[in-house]
Amino acid sequence: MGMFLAQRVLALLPVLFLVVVIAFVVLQLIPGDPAVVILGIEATPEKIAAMRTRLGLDQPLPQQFATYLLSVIKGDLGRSIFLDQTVAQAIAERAPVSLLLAAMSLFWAILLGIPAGIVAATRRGSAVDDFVMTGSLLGMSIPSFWLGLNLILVFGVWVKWFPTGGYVAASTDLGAALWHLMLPSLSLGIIQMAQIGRMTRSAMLETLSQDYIRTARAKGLSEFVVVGKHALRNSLLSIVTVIGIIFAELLGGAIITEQIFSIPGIGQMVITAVAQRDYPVIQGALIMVGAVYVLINFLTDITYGIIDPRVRIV
Amino acid sequence: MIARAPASRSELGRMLRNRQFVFGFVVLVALCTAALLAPYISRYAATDVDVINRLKPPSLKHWFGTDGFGRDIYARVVFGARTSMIAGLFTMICTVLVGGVIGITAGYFRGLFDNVAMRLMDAMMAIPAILLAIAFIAILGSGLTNVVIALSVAYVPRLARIVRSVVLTVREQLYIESARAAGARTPRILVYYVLPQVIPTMLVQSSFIVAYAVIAEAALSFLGIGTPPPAPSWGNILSDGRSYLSIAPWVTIFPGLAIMAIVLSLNLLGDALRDIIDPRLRTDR
Repeated sequence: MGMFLAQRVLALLPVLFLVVVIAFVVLQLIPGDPAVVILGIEATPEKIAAMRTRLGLDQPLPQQFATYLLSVIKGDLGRSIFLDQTVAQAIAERAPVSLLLAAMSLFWAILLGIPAGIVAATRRGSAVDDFVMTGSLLGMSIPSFWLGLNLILVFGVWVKWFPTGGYVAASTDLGAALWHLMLPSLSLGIIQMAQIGRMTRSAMLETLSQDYIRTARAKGLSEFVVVGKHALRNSLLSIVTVIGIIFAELLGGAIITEQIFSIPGIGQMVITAVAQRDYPVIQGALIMVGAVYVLINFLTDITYGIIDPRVRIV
Repeated sequence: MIARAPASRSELGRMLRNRQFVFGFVVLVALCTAALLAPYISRYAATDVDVINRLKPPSLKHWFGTDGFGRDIYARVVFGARTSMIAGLFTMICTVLVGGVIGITAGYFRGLFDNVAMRLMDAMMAIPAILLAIAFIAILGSGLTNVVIALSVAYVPRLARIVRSVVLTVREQLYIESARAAGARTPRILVYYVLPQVIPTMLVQSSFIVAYAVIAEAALSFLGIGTPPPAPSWGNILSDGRSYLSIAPWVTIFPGLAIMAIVLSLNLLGDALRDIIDPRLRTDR
């Protein structure tokens, strides 16, 4: 297992390095002088020179990258131009909000998606299967932000069950935090549920056609044991992969949902940074989300090893 | 030469017998026709302001109602279809061209180029497509052309990876070795022997890329960094409607339904094409 883990860690390092390269390149690709773009054309030459020094633009390119890379390794993502704090602090303040939203969305997606996929696979060709497949196709075609607006309209404005926006910190009142995140998490979760449902159905169909399932049935095992213990466990590899990818996408992809529901997460920070041309924040968000994605992939790989010991040998 | 033959009559028959394909195709053609004929099927222009008739509910005069400036929502939705389709189509073309070339060359030549290119693709895929697109818009500025560039940058890695995986199998086929032994040069092998095997996969992926791009363009315009107003885009119509959600929900309902219809039709087409081209990959029954 140790060798397996070491191999996975080594494979992740080049990807992490390239994520930093992409974030670094973002600043270099700005047409013209980034300092002028950030401060505006009316800025004094002194201010522009100071901004160039602050961004490290007065150094040769290789030195700029080396300095940036070393800072990132030390956890220093620079200082925000418009927020009165470092990028790392800004991210640390907002990441728990986005993490909670992503986790809650994933909770709905798994809670509804996996059972729906299992039922559809075990009743293949039935009306239930048709319902699940049509529902998942519709779910995958709905833009999450439009679904969010409709949920606000129905459950926030018309029946007034849930708040239409805002956020309460989980550390202050966990119940209120979850209550405020109900509609945003549902708007993201319902769409991801469609993907998980489809993947579960497809993986289960393949597993249910295997010889060992026929053997299990021939031995007289109950359908619950055959499906729950034998088929589901062997289908988990593909399902876990999708869940890992979805969680990572939810973290960075909930930008619009955060905006609609006025949730002070990473997404809202990025949109504000784009409007204010606060490039260090944009770079920091790219690195943070990229690193989380890589970390989740790593955890998914470890989960493979736990679910299926053969993976550790390969 | 064992290159894939062009769609035969039996393949066309299979397509026409596939209900998903027919439904998706009919809906897509209807939406494209509406977009093309927008000036002829709408009584109003998308930017005609009529403040006296602001926030009117759907009626015979205004089929989808009016927005906060009295603009006809039906006109804005059909004209907005043009923006969405241009974004989807051009993003798909750019992605297929760039992603196809990277995927084919990386998969065929392997070695250092493959290693470097695929690690870069992995790093780009580590960042959610919408976030990567937003980062590029922060550099390039808003506007439809920049949206297409930003979305293409975000989707190229995904397509390149898929194309490469197909090429890895194709390059080991006997007929490729025969072509090499017969003295065929690399460009000829890539164009005449490898490309035809990759086209069906790219065709399937193209429909999904257009669907993703339509949603992403709407999302970016919704956030105010995509197509700038007053030009209609489904995303900025939704954004306008957000302010009147409780008193005029029709402003958000119709553009949302339009996005859903086009994305559903493209997903159906993509699924059906995948089933027709490779029945082993069927996701339904």
